[in-house]
Amino acid sequence: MAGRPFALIGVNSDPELEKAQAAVKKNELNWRSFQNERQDLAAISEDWAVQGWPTVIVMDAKQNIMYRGHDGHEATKIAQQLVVQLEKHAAEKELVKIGTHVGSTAADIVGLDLDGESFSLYAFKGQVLMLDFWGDW
Amino acid sequence: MEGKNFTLIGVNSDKLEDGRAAVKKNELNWRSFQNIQEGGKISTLWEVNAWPTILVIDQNLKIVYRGHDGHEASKIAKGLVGTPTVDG
Repeated sequence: MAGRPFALIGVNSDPELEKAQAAVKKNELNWRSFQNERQDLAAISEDWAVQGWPTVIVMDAKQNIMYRGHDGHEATKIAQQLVVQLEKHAAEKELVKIGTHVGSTAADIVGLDLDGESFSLYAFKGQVLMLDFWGDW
Repeated sequence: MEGKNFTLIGVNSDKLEDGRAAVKKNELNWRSFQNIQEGGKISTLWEVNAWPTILVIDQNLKIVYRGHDGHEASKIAKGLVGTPTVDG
């Protein structure tokens, strides 16, 4: 999933750092891992109450835990679904429909007020706007 | 709805001096566009066929009401004021 909104992060339990480094090299792992043991702190796996190894956790873009278990295939499937959803959502946001009717994002108006001062509709973004096409009849 | 994250903006179709006179006479305290911008009349670009036409636009610039009923528009606008802005 290179170039897509996905990151794999490891927590490595090998007590000897060199051993883990050798494993990364041997298996050509291209993702970073935390060392499980921490100075002055409990091991990461203790904080996370990890009992069986490997334990795989999938988090969505808001760090909600969506999967926790021991099935790498299942985890991958869920992660892929989340990535697809995220990409779809991003694409929809880019395709905002600009228009002048209900459901559209309002087109900007750039013009002059009755005193001849320049102003624009978009300058008021963040406010609720009422736009009144009026005349004095 | 002063000071409540609400702004009323007009688009005035009168001749400029008539529009100004109407603002004065009716003591309108909100700004109006003259009905012209690059590309033509604002009312034409916005496909306004009947006057008045009133739109309510939310904090994210989404059009949530378009019609001719000022009371309905006010009700909808009041409902939106005070709701949190949804970013992104």
